[in-house]
Amino acid sequence: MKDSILRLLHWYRDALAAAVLLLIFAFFLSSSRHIQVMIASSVDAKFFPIVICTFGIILCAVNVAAGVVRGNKLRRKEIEEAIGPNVSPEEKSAAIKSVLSIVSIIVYLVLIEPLGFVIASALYLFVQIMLLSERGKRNPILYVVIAVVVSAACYLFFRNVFYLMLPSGLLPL
Amino acid sequence: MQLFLSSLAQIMTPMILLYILLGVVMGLVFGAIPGLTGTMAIALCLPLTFGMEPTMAFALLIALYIGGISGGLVSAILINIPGTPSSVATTFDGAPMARNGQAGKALGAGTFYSLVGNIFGIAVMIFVAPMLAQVALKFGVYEYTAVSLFALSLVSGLAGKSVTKGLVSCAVGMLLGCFGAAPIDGYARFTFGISGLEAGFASVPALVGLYALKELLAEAKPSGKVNILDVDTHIKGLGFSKKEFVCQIPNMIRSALIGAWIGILPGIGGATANIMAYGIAKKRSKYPEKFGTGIIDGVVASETANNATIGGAMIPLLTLGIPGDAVTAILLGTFTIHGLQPGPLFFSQNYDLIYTIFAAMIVASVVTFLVQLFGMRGFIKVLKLPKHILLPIVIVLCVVGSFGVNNRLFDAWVLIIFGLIGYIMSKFDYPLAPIILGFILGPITETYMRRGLQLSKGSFLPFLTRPISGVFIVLTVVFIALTIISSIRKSKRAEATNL
Repeated sequence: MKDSILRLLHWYRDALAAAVLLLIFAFFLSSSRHIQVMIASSVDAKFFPIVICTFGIILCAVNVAAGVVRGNKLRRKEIEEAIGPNVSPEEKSAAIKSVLSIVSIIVYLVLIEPLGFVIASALYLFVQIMLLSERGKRNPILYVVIAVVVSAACYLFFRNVFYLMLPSGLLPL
Repeated sequence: MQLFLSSLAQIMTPMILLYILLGVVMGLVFGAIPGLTGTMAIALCLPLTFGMEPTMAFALLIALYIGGISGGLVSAILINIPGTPSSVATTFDGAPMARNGQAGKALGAGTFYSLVGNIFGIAVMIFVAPMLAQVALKFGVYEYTAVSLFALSLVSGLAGKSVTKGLVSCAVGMLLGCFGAAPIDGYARFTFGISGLEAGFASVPALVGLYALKELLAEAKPSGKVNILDVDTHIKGLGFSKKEFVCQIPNMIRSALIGAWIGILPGIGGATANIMAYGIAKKRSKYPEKFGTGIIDGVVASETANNATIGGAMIPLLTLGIPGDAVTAILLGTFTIHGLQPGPLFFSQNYDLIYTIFAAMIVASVVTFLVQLFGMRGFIKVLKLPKHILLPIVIVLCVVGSFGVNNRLFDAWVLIIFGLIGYIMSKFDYPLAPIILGFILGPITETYMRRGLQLSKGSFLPFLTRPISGVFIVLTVVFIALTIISSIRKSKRAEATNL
């Protein structure tokens, strides 16, 4: 079951991506109709978003059709040649690393205000460098030093030279 | 001429020269490291320029721009990976030259012809821009609308393998540009009750996010170890002989013309210019079979053309206020931050600043040449910097830069939102350049179009009946039609080959 879903996703990934984009354009087209304007005219604040979304929907529909055709061809070819879904362990680990990287950036932004720029940045830098570095070649002590020095230097430089009011958070800076 | 010389004297102060040097070095470093681009360096430094005098701000940003484009050749030659998309064609002959023991010659030629390309592009800009500004003074809202639409059509058609995907990317960018207050009447659009969205997405975090996050996440992919060729990179003189220089003159002039012309056309830029110049140099050569084996001709064509695009790309920005690529879009933002509005009127009223920009470009080109020629060993060392440490630091700097735009965290979230959009769309082969141009050109087009429609009381006819505007509308339609036809032909040919 899981295999067949993965195969379908692999064959029809283009069609699927275009369908998702089509839905997004459709959502914004519907939102465009509800933009509040005081004086209705043919070319008001709604006009441009409506044109763009309509244009986007048509293009996405073309891409969905092209994606289905391409997917059918790929499906026939792979069934004929008996090629199965082939995801290498490296690719799996890369996908996990990408997701974890995104999560760590989101957590970083959430923590900047309560913890302050220096602590949040140091934590983020350490986690991100650990995530990206190769297993077996990691040097956590060096990474801690880099994370702390870079965060503190950034804070002091931008705060004192460019008067950027980066959040100080827990530290009495 | 006198104005130009006095502008040159104006920027010859120690402080401005220091900013130019810093900009050039940082641009070269960002350009040399694959994955980091000059665009990213400019976007990162933009918040630093908020408090500067316009002259100083533009000197720094222009030095970053020129350094960023020129830096790509180091990694293209030594590790066979272009540092920036503008140096793709440099790998074709530069890397084989390095493998054949001619790394010094390739680096020397690349450095010298980058300078030639830069100076040629700037010369074209100095001569063409004032003339175009005179013509553009006659432009009204209809003409501006038509030119913006033409720019949008060029972007979408040439940005990717699939025309429809390029156009969808462009539509996504234009839709993102619609968030916040509408132009002319200021009605709120797509704010969903979020106060931060009332002014729309700020362009700096949006542009940085689209590129930076994609590179960070790409680093998670398993990739082969970067092997820097252990060869003699010492450059004797300029690396090539007088005879070789004379032989390369036609190639140099042709590539410079291609680069400057492509630079003027919005949305295409150095990434296309270097490949096109290389292709034409090969076609016109008496020995096309030698291309790709490591001959100087390939490096000359690519590096002259990509640098000549810089001067060309500045022309539509300065004379029409229409940016042609991501860098000029950021420069447009810099003008706005300093309360300036580029365009024909600005051009005729601010000769001082315009000529200072010209002078800064020339000085930055010469500084880039000298820094590359004498500091090549340093840039080779830069290639060895571990990206798993460098990229997270760049992300932190991007967050600081985004925060600095309005002193609020909301813009850092914009960085992440655009980063995710860019990453997901590039995963599904949707090109990113049209998103940026759609995002920047969309609001410009809307403003002019709505002003035009207000003037014409809702009629679209003046857009077609006014001569310049009509010509651009026809060109837009013809260009889109030609792109679609050529893409259909290409896919049919590909199908036939598969069968």
